[in-house]
Amino acid sequence: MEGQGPQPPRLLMRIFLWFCHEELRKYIEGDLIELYRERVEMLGRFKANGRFIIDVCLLFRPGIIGFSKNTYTSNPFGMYKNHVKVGVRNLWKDRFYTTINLFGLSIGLSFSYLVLLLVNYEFSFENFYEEKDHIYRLGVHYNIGGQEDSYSNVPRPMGPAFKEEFPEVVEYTRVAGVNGLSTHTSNLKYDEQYFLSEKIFVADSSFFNVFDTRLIRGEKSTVLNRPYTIVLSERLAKTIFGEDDPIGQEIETVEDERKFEVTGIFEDVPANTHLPYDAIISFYNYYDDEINTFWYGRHVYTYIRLQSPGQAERLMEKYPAFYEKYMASDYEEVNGKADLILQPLKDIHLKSDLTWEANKNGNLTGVLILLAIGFFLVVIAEVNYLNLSLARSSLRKKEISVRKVIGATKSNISGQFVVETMLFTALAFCVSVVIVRLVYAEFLSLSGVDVLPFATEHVLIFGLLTFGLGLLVSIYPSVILSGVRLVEGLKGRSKKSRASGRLQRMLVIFQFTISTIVILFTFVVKNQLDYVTHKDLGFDKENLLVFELEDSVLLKRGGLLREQIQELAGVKATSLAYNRPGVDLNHLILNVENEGEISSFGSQFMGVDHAFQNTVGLELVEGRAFIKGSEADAEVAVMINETAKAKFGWQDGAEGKRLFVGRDENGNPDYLTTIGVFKDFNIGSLHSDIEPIVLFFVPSEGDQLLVRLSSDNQETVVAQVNQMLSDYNPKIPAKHHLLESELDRLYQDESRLSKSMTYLSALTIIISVLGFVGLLSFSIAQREKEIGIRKVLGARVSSVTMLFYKDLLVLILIAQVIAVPVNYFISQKWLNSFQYQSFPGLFDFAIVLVAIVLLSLGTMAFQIVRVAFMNPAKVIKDD
Amino acid sequence: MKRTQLGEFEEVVMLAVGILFGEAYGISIKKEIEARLSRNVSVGALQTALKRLESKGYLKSTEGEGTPERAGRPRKYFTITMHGKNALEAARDTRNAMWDAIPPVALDLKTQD
Repeated sequence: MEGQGPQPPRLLMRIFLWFCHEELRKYIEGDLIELYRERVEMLGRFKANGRFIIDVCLLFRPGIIGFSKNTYTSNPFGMYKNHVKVGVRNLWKDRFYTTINLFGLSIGLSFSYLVLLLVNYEFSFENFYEEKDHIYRLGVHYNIGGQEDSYSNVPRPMGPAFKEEFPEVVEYTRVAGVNGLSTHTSNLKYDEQYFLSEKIFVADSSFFNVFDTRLIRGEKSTVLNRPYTIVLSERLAKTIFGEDDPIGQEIETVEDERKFEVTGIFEDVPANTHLPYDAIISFYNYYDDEINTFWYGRHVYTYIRLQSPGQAERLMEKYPAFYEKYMASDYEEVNGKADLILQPLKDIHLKSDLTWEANKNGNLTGVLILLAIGFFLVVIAEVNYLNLSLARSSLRKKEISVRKVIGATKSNISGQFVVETMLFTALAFCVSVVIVRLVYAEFLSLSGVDVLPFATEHVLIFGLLTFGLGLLVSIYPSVILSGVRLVEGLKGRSKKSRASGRLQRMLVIFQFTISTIVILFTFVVKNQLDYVTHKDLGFDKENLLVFELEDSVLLKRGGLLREQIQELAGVKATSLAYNRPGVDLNHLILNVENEGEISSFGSQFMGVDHAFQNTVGLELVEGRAFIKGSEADAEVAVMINETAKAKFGWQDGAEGKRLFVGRDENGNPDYLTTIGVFKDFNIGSLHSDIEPIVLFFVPSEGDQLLVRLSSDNQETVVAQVNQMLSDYNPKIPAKHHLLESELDRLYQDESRLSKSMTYLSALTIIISVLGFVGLLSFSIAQREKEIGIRKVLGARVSSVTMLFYKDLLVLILIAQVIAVPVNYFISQKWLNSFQYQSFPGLFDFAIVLVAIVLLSLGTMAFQIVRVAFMNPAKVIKDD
Repeated sequence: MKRTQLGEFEEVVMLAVGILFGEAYGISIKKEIEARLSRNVSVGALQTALKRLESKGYLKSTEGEGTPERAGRPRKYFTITMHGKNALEAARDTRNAMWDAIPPVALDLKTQD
């Protein structure tokens, strides 16, 4: 019948049928069709369609729409109430499992919450800048004489030239620490009081046009456009001036005694930025004009603002032409090449680890590792829940069957399980919030970040995630259990379904795989950390004190001070130098003479005195060291390390080989002569390889006073030295630290990772084992009778024990077989960030694996032994 | 007793159902009203009114046969119930009473000017 005559538009009709009340549907549909056909005949298809649309629209009214008053509405509240009641009773009935589950899940939840907070914080860097995606930082990658290095900063004329050359660059700003590129600590003096700030930078007047920090006082365009002006953060201004008006006041930097006029105040910058600043000093006239024109060396951080975010690639394309125009000639001279690095502001914190970063940046790998572990922690805990509810399912078959007999539908029973899971999840959520509250302080100190734990949106997101996960986990048991066969359930035949048994086993393997991976990886991290902090660096890093002389009074008397300190009891050796191990070194381009030919090489350099070699403990492998007081050495001598010797091609002996420096006024060539070669030593982090190092002789000068102690009498020596130093009344007190702890700080990321990994791996194994215990005690309860009979028939304790252990052991071993290669893969990836790696030996690994097995089996021993020793009469007498 | 107030459109619909005695279903009622009142009636408005009237008990319905022009969908035929008849009469009576109550002079518009 449908085929006769035209049909109204199908889609509209379906929409109508969807919203129309069921009782009316067929009649109105008939009316509509009849009307439509009539109209098609009278008015034509087009108009009929139009009328039809109007009709359908007008039918969308309360009397017609499906949910009209006349439908039967049930009140499911009572049912839910019953679900909750039964849920509570069930949880209470199985107190033991509930506690185990609850404990595991809430610990899992709370730690993943903390991890989530941390990860969220790490990814929130720079977010407070409104137009963060417009801002890029310039960097350069040098290849000079085969020496490659990537800098987070660029030569000074680059920023201005960029703005001039590229229309895409709206604005640039150059930024540098107040006391050298990455040293942004300074003492400010106002009204005879000193204020230490660690976030003082020198920047172009365009600074606030690139970074959209709001100015509270002053105008963006004018605050920094005069020399000797300074803009302060609200916080710093308050500290220095209190309630007074800071504008127009003068403050002084103590180090170089320059005075600056306060011209503005900006809103405090949050901590989650790679470049936190408390004060900005005008770049104008701050440096000699000449060095602002150098295309090589004298770097500053340079940020540019693009017209639109997508233009970075175009800039990269245009760069080669720019390089030819401005830079090529300078770099060809030194046999080098400079490539552009453009870093989006947002990427700097987690992805950038270039030379001379303004601050230590975050570590993406570490963050991702934590995220993964946090995620798995919850998964493992949820798996516990899933496993236990599957195990318990056989017990509940009777209940479900009775419900079904009374008339419950499948969805009713599923609903019951969903409600139960949700109830449990809610409980776990509450407990986890309490746990978070308890461990929060510890967490903060470990992670070194400052985030609000109970920011509503965090808790909300976390809650949603938790309940989402709970819902997901409740699906499987509710589907399985609602499908229970009535008769089977009522008869009480508790045949365990094979599928669910297999699933349980797989879940256990999954859990143990994850926790084994985490534990093994923790082991690798710890091992590597141990390796890098204890590796022989080529010098003796223990018992070496460093005093940093910043004050001009102290700097002038460096040589004298050194000699005085040398006389102290407990001091073995002292040295005055411009550089020390453990900090980034500057690069230099050397013109190396080899068999009459000159070629350029890049090299790191240090300026040291004659005692450096002895104090630091370098081993001389060729030639001699600098001689005290030798003017010739100070003028023309250098020492190099073995790597430099090899790189420069002086394999046949470096002594007497020369470096060309330039020509004197008479046109005669000037040379530096190599007098000695010292054994390679790792100057910085073991992430990087040893690079060529050249030592220059700088007698009785330097801002680093190195003191080698003869024994562990550190405190007395420090006290004496400090006393000595304070006799000169320095304005800036000298800082001191142990070189060893400073070197250890190079592995801050790793040690933080290692610490948190230790916690987390302990948690994963605890939660996994807990789940296992629950599962086991359950299967024991089910098999008690069987054990009783076995014992009556003569089974020994050991064979009963084996009965249970055999199963478990297989599962754990399978998990380990999977975990070992996966861990190997992950570990290799992680270790690749180190130039010097150490992978734990097979034997060590085996010990860890065996320990995991023993721990898991040991925890269960109590239960198994109890059942093995049980009096069989007790269980059999029931029947 | 419940109020037997009829709305204007409801009254029209009831009357149309009465006129079409035995043949009153959605489309025929719609056409009847459109023809007599020369105004457009939307399916939605009509169906809503019919439904309301039925739930008030003024109309009762029976399911008719499905015909080819309706693609086999059944018709719903309406007839007036006793209650509906009362309501219609009440409506007419109140009107008439009100008509009667108008003094003749009020309608004698010529004399007033």
